[in-house]
Amino acid sequence: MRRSVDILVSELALLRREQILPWVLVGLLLAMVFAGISGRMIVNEQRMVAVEASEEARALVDSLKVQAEVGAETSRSPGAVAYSVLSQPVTKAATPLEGLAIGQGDLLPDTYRLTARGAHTFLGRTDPENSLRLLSGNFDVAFIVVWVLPLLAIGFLFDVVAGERERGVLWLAVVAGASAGRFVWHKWWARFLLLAAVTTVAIVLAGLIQQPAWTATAAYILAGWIITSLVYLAFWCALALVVSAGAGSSEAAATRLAGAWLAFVVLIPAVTNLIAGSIVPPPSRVELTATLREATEQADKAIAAERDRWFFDHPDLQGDMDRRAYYLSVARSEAGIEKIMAPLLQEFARNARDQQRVIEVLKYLSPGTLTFRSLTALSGSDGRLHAGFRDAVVVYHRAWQEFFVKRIESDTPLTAEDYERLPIFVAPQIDRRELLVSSLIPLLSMLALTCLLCFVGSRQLRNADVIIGAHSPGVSR
Amino acid sequence: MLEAIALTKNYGEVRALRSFDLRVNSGEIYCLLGANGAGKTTTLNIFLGFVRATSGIARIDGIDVGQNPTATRKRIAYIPETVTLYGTLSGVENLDYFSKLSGIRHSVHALRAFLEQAGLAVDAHDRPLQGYSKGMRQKVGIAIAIARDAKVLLLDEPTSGLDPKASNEFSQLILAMAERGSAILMATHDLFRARETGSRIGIMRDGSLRKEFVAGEIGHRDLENEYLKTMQEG
Amino acid sequence: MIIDIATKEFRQTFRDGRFRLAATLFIMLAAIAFFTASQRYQSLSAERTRAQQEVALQWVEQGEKNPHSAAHYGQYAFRPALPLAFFDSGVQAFEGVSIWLEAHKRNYAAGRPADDMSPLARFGEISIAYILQVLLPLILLLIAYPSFAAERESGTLRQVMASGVTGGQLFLGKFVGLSTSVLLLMLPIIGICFLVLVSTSGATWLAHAVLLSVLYLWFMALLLGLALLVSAVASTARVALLVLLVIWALGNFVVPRIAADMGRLASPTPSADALLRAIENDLAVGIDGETPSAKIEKRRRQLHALYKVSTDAELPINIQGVIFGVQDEISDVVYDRHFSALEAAVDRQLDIFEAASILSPRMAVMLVSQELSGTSIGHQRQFADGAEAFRRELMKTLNRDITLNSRSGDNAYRSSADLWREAGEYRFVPEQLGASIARCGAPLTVLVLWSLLICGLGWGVARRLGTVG
Repeated sequence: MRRSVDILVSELALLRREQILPWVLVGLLLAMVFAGISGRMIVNEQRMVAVEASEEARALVDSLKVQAEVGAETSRSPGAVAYSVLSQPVTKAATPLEGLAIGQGDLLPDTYRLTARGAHTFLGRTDPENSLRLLSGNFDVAFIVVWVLPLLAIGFLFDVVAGERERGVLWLAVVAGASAGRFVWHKWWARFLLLAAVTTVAIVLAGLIQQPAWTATAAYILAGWIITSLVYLAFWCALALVVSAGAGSSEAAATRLAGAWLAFVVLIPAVTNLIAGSIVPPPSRVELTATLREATEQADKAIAAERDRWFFDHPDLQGDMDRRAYYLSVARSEAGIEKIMAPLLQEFARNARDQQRVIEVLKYLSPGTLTFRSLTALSGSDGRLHAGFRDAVVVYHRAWQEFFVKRIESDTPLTAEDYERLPIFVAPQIDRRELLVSSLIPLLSMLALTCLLCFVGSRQLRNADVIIGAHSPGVSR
Repeated sequence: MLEAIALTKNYGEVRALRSFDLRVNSGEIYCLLGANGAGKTTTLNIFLGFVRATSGIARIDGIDVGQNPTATRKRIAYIPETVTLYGTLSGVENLDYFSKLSGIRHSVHALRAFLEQAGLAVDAHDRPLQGYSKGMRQKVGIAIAIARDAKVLLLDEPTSGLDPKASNEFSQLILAMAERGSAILMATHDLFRARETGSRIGIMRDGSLRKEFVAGEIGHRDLENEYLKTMQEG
Repeated sequence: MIIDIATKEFRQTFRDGRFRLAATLFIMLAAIAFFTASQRYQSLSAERTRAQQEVALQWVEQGEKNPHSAAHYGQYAFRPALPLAFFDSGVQAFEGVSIWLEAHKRNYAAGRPADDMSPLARFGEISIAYILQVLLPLILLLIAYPSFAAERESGTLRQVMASGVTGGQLFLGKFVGLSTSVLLLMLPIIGICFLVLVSTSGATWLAHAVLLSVLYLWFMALLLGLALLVSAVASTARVALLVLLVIWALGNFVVPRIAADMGRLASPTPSADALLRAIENDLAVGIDGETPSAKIEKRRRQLHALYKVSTDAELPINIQGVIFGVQDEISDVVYDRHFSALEAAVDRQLDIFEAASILSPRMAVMLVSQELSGTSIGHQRQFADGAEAFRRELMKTLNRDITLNSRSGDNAYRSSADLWREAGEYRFVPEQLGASIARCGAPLTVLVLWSLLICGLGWGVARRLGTVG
């Protein structure tokens, strides 16, 4: 044990002599810090918008309440308030450390501003964005862990066997009485521990930058982040060892590892996305638009017919339709449109859930996908929390509509007390138990794969060819 | 013909060559002996135009190497210590390529004849070079020199790592080329081969030529003693 | 001489197992990309064409109604799938596909396809452009990195230089030889793209396709030059490989994201909520220091004075049509102001992105490729501006009809299909190639600068190839 520690310390001292190494590690730290700051600013911006909307809505409700108390007509008219005056912002629950992985957070709105009109009027609304920025993706901590960390692992370890073999050091070590496996593993551990230490510090720093409320959930999520990242790092380090041992030269090892990175981090996830889109093709927004248009047209015609009928029934009344009758017709019109649109909107929601299910299976094709899903799940930005939020909004919207439509139908004016009894939205929170269950299996899978690679690497190091090499010097490519 | 006149090369404060004079005529094989760092490789690099002399002149066939490195290279054939060439190309393909680089085109038949002349077995001609032994690659290197019909041949430790038979074959080939009129400068540690192959032998130390002998006028034992004495001198 | 060197390089590359493996994977991925992209393009194209025809029919067959009701009914503008979208889908997935053209309101495009994609869509899409921008360069650097460095390490470079070839000839020869290998992979893909393009859209987009081919060939030449340069300068082949891999990874994955994030931080865009509220506030406030009601009242007085009447009922026209016109005037100015501000914010983000492309020529190529394929932000704006211009004309026609063909207070006035036909239906007109190229000034400049840099450095390095010290 003591000897192992001594060798490890020597290895770390050797690494310290490499000029470029400190810069790379400092670069990693700075990148994580920048990513953390950037993520936090993005999240803060979204939160600010939500807070402003909420405060504004609160102020409006208070003002309407005051007006209702003094008998102002508009504030007492449930139809006017429901369809023309009041819109209610509802916001997705904040997740501690969500700035670490933006994920779908920049695509899916975390605030909806709903009215008593149909759900289609607010569910499809998106913020105006720079589409090139959306295409490029976010430079968040999840990106650094999933895309960049493997490259560092490859850079540190691609020549841990092949390079030592080429330099003749491995052979010398074995001839001197050391076991090749032990010799290499000490080098591996020194590099892995160094990378792991810097990664852990960097994630903790980035986490602190998020300034979360330090609850048990936040601590749990941070721990989850660190463990997931370290297991992912261990996978790449183990893969580097196996490839380095099996390659004829350090160049060949680097090439193969670059290919592995390309496959696991770029190609397989993209192909997985393709497969998911083929198995669960998204419904057509164009069809949704056309259906909405048709539904609106029918509803408008229905309103017009109703109004004609109303004036036919009330020939003595010229000018505007009775307010109650008008808002009743609006309510019926909206109900009619929603009846047509609801199945389509449900199809979109169902499609999103089906895609999530398919992705949950296909993610095991690549450690990159697996880790990305785990990290975004921990940060609540993988789309599942949003799906829950969206479902809750739909339910709340029905309650909101019902609150006003009941009063329109019974022609009951709104009172100050009614404004205090407005339905309140409760956003679904991230569930720690669900997180544990959903992240345990991927973590164990990655760990198992890593252990398998380490086992294969150990077996390879017993092979004499790995130590001596079949490489014949002096022949150019 | 090879000429070095007061050739000097400094690498910072290190003086690799100190006013080095040398002349190798057509048909001569000049063997340059010396320890590592004596200046042999620097001399070759200057003649190859890879290194610029700090002062002095190096000429090949009367052309100043420093002024016209490309023109002088066209007159040189160079065989390094380890002939590497291109592993995925065959012996014939490597020979063809290097001939074309020199501006000479030969038929496939002629290329095979050069390889045979250099002693490479016929069945190896079309095999990829990565399967060749060191001696076989050496022969391809010689074939390149023959194919280029170079008047000057520079050899850097050519027999290093060769077995005695291959070494002897190599010597015979070099002698044949000298007989055809090539001026040959060979840097080597191999005292025996220098005595067997060379016309003249020079012993270098610390960048200067300390002793020079006519090969036929000194025996193997005496040559060795002179070499050791030179190395031990202050 | 150069041809001889090139032939040798090509032969060597072809015999290299890595190249054959990489080429096989490349062809497989290209085939997948082709197949999926073509399918998607055809399906999208048909769907949007059908949708546009449907809404046009709905517009004409909407029956008799008050023109202002028709104005609120409006039309829809669908962004068509342009022929080269199968090659480079650009930003299309993140832009709305339809705009509702209704009275008094300018809407931005809705229905982003990305909202319905799987969470893994952020890993990128395997389009043909992506393969040419990201994967082919990786293959290229894997075959080019040992060109000089490995030969220097093994001593072959000395032998080659000793043969009398100049550094420039060697550099050019390797460049030509390796280019041929890369062209073997690229040209069939380009050829198939041309065939697909011509079969789907004839010769209309041929010029775009030719320029795209030139762009990608230029990009490959640039990268090849860079790879040879690094190989020539690196101390060992291993160092050359590592440096090139780092450049490739940073340029393709890191720099674009950092640039995009920095753009967002430096010039954030407003939320939909904030935008709408700001617009609502300005609509209430009015323009030119006049509230909307004051403006309407002023117009009313002008009309009364013009027609020498004292009430609306006495006017020979329907003042409601005029009022709608005034409201549209105000809303047009307000929407222009806010949409311009939004565009300006996005433009500032794009400026930062373009500036960052000096670190990654791939970013510059991506921008130009999107422009030429018709899938850039610029093209989306052209679609949106064209739709808005049509909307304004449509509203003017409808308002004019109310004004001239009815009298004030006549709520029973109806128009029919003749008016709807006269008002016309929205038709997308693709922009001219010149307009697309005009937006490529900055990225093309970056590519030119990179080319000059590589040529300059390459010349310097080639000269020094024959020397050691």
